[in-house]
Amino acid sequence: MVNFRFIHAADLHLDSPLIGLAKKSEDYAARLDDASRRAFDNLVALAIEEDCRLIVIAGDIFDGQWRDYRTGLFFVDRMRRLRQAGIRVVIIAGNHDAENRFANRLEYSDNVKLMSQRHPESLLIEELGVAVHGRSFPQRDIVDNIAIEYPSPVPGRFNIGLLHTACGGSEGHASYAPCALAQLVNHGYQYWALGHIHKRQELAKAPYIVYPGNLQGRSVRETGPKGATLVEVIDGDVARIVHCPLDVVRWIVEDVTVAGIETREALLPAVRERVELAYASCDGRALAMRLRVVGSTHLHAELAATAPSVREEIETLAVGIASNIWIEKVEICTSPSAASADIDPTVAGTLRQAVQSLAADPWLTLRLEARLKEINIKLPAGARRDELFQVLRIEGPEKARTLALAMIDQGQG
Amino acid sequence: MRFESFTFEKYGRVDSCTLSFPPGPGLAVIYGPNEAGKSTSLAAIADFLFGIPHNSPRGQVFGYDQMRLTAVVALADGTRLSLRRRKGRAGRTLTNESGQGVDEGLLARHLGSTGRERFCSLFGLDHNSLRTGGERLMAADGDIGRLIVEAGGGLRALVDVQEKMAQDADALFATTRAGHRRFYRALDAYQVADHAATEGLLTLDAYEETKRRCDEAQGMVDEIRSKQKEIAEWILRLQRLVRVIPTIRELDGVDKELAAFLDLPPLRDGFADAAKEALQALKLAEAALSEAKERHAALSAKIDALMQSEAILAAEASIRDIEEKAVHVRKARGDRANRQIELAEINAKLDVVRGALGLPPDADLEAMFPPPDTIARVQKLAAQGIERRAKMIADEKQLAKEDGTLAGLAERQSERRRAGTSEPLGATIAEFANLAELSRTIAGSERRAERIGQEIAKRVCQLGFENSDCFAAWSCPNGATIQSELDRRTRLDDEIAKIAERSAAESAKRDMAAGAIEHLLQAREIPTDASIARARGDREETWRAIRDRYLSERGEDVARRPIGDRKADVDRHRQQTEAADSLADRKSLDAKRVAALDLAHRQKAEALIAIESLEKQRKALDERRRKDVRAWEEAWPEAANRQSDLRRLKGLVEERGTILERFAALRALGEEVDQLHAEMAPRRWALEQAEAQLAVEIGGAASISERVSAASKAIKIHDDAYADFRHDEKAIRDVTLQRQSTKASLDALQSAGADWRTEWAPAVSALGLAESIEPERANEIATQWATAGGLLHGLKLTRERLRRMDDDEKELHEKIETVACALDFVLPEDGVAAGGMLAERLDGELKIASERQVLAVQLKEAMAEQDRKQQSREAALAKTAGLCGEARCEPADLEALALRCRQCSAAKVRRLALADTVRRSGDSLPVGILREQSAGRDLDNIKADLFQAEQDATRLISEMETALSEVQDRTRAMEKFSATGGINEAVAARESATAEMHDALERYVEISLAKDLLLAAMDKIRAEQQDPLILRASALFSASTKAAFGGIETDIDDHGNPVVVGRRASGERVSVARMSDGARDQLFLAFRIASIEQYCAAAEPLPFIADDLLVHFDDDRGAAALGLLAELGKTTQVMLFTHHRHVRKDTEAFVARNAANVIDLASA
Repeated sequence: MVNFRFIHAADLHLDSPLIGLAKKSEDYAARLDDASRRAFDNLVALAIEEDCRLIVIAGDIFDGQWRDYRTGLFFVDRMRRLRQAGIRVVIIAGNHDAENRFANRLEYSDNVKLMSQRHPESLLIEELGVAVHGRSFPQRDIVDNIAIEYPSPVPGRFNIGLLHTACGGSEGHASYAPCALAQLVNHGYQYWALGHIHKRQELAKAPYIVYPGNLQGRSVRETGPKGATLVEVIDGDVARIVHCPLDVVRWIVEDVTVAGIETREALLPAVRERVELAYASCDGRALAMRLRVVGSTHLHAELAATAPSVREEIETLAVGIASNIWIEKVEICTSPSAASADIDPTVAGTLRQAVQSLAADPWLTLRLEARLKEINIKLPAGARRDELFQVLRIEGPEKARTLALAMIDQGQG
Repeated sequence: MRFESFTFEKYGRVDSCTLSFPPGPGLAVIYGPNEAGKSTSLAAIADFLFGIPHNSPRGQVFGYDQMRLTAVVALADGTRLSLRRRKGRAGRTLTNESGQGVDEGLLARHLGSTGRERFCSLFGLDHNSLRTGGERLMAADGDIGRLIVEAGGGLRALVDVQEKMAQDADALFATTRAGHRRFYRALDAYQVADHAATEGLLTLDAYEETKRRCDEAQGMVDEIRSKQKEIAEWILRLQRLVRVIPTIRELDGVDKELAAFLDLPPLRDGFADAAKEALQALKLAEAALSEAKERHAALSAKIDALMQSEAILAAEASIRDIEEKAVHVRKARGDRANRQIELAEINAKLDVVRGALGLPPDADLEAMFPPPDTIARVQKLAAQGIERRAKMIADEKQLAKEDGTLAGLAERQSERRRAGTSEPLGATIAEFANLAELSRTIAGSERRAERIGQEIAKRVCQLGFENSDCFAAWSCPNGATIQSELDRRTRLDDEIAKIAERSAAESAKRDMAAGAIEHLLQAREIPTDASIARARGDREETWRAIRDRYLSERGEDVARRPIGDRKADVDRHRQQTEAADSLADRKSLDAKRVAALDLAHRQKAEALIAIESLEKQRKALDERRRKDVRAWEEAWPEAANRQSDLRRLKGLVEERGTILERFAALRALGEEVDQLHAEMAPRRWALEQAEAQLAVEIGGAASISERVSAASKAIKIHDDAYADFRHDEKAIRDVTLQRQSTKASLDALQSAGADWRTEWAPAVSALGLAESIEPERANEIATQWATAGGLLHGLKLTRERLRRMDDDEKELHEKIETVACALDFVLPEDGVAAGGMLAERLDGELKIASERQVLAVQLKEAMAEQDRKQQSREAALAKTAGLCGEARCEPADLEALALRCRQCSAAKVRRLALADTVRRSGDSLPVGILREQSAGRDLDNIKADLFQAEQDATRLISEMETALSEVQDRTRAMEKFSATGGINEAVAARESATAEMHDALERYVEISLAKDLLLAAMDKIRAEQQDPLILRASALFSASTKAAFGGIETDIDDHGNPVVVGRRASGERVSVARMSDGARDQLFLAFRIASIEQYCAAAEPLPFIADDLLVHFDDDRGAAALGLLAELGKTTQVMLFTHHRHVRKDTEAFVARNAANVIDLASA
């Protein structure tokens, strides 16, 4: 059998914007606006460099709501480049592609095969001795187990199953085309190239059932290295798989503990250490970072009350480390140090009790809803209102409680 | 928690201090003047309770190691703790008395949730905090919530924090749009970016539309291109026809010509040429044959005309020998005369030699000729003798010359030795070169030193010093020290002056207040509280007397009272009652005057206090200044004695510095002069030595420069003479050496002469000469013999040549005779002429023979040529006959037939060429097709069609350009789709703006809800605590105002907010804003005390520490406030720190009532 290498990628979400990064400098857009494209260019370069003969893409090449046709043209252009390098590409449409208006109307070069939406299809690549089986999503919400209908493996071939699925279900992802791991294991293919879940996962090794994760993290929910999986096939078996980071902006969430830190000034060196470590782990990539200041400290009240200035100081510090570091958010998650269990008979103590009591009362939720109503009429429809309101409903009361208590502590002087 | 004792060691500036709080009442008034450690005590108590901060400034004097805070405290449950605090890591700084570590919790659990900040804000109060608190109450206008929070809770910064947060929230978001709000800035950015994203969007429909238009444009291009192709082909066809039609016409003409040769027999190709060639060859062959015959005849005649002599040709070898010999003889005949002259010349020379040798003219020199080596030897020796003799003469002359030179030199050296110039002087002019200048420099420096010394001595005397040494030894501070002291005193003076100014201002205030009081009191009595009280007191006293009498059990007392007195009592009582009532009634009417009087009293009191304070400060400063002066005088007694005025002293010290610098310069100048003297001494000695040696005498009054000049001249003369002496010494050595060389050469020549003579005698005798002959003569004779040898040899050779000439003449003659006998003609007698004739005749015969040979060859060739021509003619005839047979014609007709054949062939060739031209011009199309295409077409019509087609082609080019431009534009529009088109930037900017909005709104909601929570919490507290707190504060307030206020009540302000108001004794309600400063301070204090009492009721009581609280209170209210503190002392320990004596004095009354203690900090 022919020995060869192929790349398994999924969830490219080309031209999907990076979410949550406020503009900090003029070259912001130049650095971040085409992150997904540059990540895909990295994939193309990797395929050529590694002398790959095949790329399989397990869906969600495009964003569902994304309407700019240039994105499609960009993808088609890169497919032509791969053709020039003699690389075959097999793709299936994912739920986002099915939703997309142009995804299935692109004119691909002859090295590209888009699998059928109607039924599972098999593509035999004679020169590699490979059979790729897959089916595109005809519409966004496929709730049936489509893997059942996938063809039986072709004997004497290296069989790759290309499937966009929430295998076994996954938090944060819609349960489209669900299937069970055991089902895939028993199907007889040598490799299952899955897509849909943005976190890289190796569900099984015999055979290999792999989610490569998405190509470029798009928000703080998609942290860590992102890229594609390089698979080497020798004598009809998977000899090795390597996850290759291809992202150009790395999302990282780091905790900075304030335990043992006496002064506000001493906080910054601790932050610097975390940021520098995180940046060093990015291998020169741009870093989008969320910092969570945690631990109990007597600085709690001060930090909670002056959170914006803490953020500004940290942002200034980050700029001093490297110009391509973005602080997405600084969360003050500290707690007061060693709160006394004694009853506090002072007015401040009574005030604190009252705040605690009110914060636990539905009254505060009503106040929150009133504030949200104020905001609702001002916030544009496309500004991810639901997402914001969800965050505010979950975190708002607690943050307000913390801030109110901090204000009481600050008020003593 | 009550402190029984508190000791702080090595803390701040205090080495050690112990405060002992006597058992008993809780109020301890701790009295201590300024600098007594009052503030230090306050900080120390907080540090004891909560630990010494990491960066505490209290260790600057003693450091931290020995810092200790020790306290004995009694807790509410009766427990006593004796603890010590040191500085160190948090949690490990508390020990017991013996130094063993104690758990921090031991103290912390009694402090409860109270930290340092809360303790300081709630349990600590100073006059500034009190005044600020009062002012904030005014600003809040009695807001109960704020009263509770700020006054009662010590949360004086909470409202500020709240307001700051509210401002922050407002800067983030509000429902009203405003440019400064972060949300709306981000919203603007969002909308701009969203618009850009929408505008820049490329939809599939738009793309397909653009692509369709692009394809359309491309289709148009293809269509035009097709038309262009068609028209291009049409143009090509027309152009082809235009090109080929004339040729086709010509081709038709040729075809007609060919029709005229149809009668010709079918002959092979090239027949005409073959016939023509054959006829031509026949003609040529006949002409060539005729020519060959004529040539053969001419050659035969020419050979026959040439005749030959066989005899001469037979004697050719002899004739060539005779010719050669005749040439030789002719040449010898020309040379014979020269040889004869040569013989005569040699004989003449030999005659000369004979004469030179002294031989007779006929002497046979050849027989007498000596051997050649003898002649050479004599010549060699003669040359040696002549040369040696010349050299000897030259050497002898040189020897004599050198002897003379040596004698002259010896005489001059003897004279120099006598003059003493044969030795060096030992001194040079350079040694004295700058002696005169040095001498002048020394003199100048000495004069300058003298002048400076005199000036210094004079100034030192003027400054009151005995001499320079005393001046230099004077002990005084430097300028900086004096300036520092001066600055310090100036600052003190400035402070004193400022105090004087402030004192004057306060005096003016006091006087103004006194004037106002006097003015107010001049009118009717003012119904002040005091005057009303006084009037009521008087009334009560009168009434008490009346009542006592009236109620006396002894009725006679009343009866004994005269009715007039009783009436008077009644009248007085009525008057007093009326006066008191009037005063009381007028109190409200004269409130303004009362307030003015109060204000004036307060101002006067404040002014008096200030004046007293300023006077104390002035005295303290005066004392400090005196101490400074004394310290200065003790430190610098000499300086102070000489000049007490510091400015003058500074001037004196500065001038002293200048003088001492000049003095130092003077000493340096003296040292310099001494050094110059030392430098000059050896040079002067050298000058004197030179003068003595050279015997220079220019008189005793001569200056140094004159002496140096004279000595220099003498030295130069001596040096020149000495240089001559040395030069001649060298010359003597050189000449002596030269003479020795000359003498040696002469001796060698003489020795060589002896040897020469030994050889000379035999050599000359071999030539027959005497030994005594001079070499020159001997050489001359030898030379003559050598010449004679050469002449004799030449004579012999010349004679031999003449003999050989005679032999040649004879041999020539004999050879000619031998040949002549066979000839048929006569030869001349002279052999040379005969030889010439024979040679000439031989040459003629040989030439004829040669010509005949050539002609014979030519004749043979001509015969052969004639045969070949004959054969050629026969062949041509045969070929012609063959062609005639082929054409079946007669030979005579062959030429005409060949001509027609050739014409026919030419027409065919032309036709082929035309057909080829048609084909080439017709783009290789067959002629038939072209002829068909052109059939019936008129050339002009075709050209017209061509013109029209070219016009159409031009039009299509223009259309094509337009279409291509359209394609280019639309392709460019398509290519733009390959870039992101800015939409990604816009989307990124939109996401950025969204993030900004989210961030702003998250913070806004956080702050807004926190504010809501706080306000709600404050409302809740107010609802829960308002009544008991206000009730207790009301009682305290009434007590502290000596019942001027009956208490405080709650009310609702214009905005519907609950507020507190003061209720005067008269029942009048006074808002907080309308209260006096003092009243507000007391209100604040009342709330604070009420709140602390509430705390102490619920938790371990903590000491209340007040720092000079009563500064703003007048005596009565101060006393009242003390009463409040004493009241609080019943609940918890109260420490009142003060440096005011009147407070201490006021406390005495409480001490007397066992309600307070006084601790003197100075004695602690």
